[in-house]
Amino acid sequence: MTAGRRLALGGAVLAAPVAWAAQLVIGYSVEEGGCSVADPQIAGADVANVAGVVSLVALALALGGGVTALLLLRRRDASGDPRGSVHFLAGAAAMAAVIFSILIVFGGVATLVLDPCSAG
Amino acid sequence: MTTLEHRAAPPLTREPAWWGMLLLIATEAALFALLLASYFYTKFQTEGPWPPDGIADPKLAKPIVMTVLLMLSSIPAYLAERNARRGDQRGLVLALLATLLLGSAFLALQIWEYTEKADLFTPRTNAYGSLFYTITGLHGAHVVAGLVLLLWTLAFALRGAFTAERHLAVQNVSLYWHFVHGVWLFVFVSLYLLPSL
Repeated sequence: MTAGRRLALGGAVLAAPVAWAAQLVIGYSVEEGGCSVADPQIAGADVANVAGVVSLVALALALGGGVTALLLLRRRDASGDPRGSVHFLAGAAAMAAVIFSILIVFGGVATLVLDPCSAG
Repeated sequence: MTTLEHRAAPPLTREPAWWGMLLLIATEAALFALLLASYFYTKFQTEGPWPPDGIADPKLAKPIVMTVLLMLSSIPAYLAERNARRGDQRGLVLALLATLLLGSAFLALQIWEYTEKADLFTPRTNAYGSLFYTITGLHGAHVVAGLVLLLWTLAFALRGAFTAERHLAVQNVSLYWHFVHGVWLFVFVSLYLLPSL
């Protein structure tokens, strides 16, 4: 197993959950910070638009992790994976990418459909 | 020039089941992190004292004993794995028994703690009550799951099922038990220690 493949495997496993966590934390911070002032804007941009961009970046990261996992699954190297751990982790990463991408889409749609600055 | 892609790295030596346990622990850790985040969010959104609605600050004596018991239980859990690695069957059985005993004592104290707490507040009293029982109850459920896994591993250890070469179940149970212990430290500090300071 090359160092590059190992790095790709680690990235694939972590990408989707990290992307979802980032969307959750950054999205929350953007809305809490932006909506607490009279003119709800972040660096001149509408809070909802910023939240939307955060969701899109998070979705791209999660899907990127999923694609990397699929590539690792397709290019299986049995000699560098005697116990099948790489195959297992790549499969888990691919499934996680699907689940977390759905979560990110649902979270992103909520920020687009609902007004992030409306109380209650 | 050696690129990262072509530089050789040692193969992953752990079994897929070990990685599976690690992923399970990661998801469970995320669940506890979200619950604790909900607790702190509610705490900081609540005006006035915390715990709210006249609920007294949690008493620390019993939770401290529970913490010590769980911390101590991680030692035999580690020893179980080490003894299994060395092929020491008797040591493995004794270490598993000690972990079981300490874990059961923790659980017994938690049940005792609940019987006292139920007189003061319930999950339906307010958001604090809901979060308190959800977080400690979820942790208690993890302790129960850990005890069941320990019992199962002990049953196999008594039959001599583990060798120095093959003892993955012991490794995984030990890893899980360390996680249960680690999470409790966060629960203890957040739900017991901080409100008492």
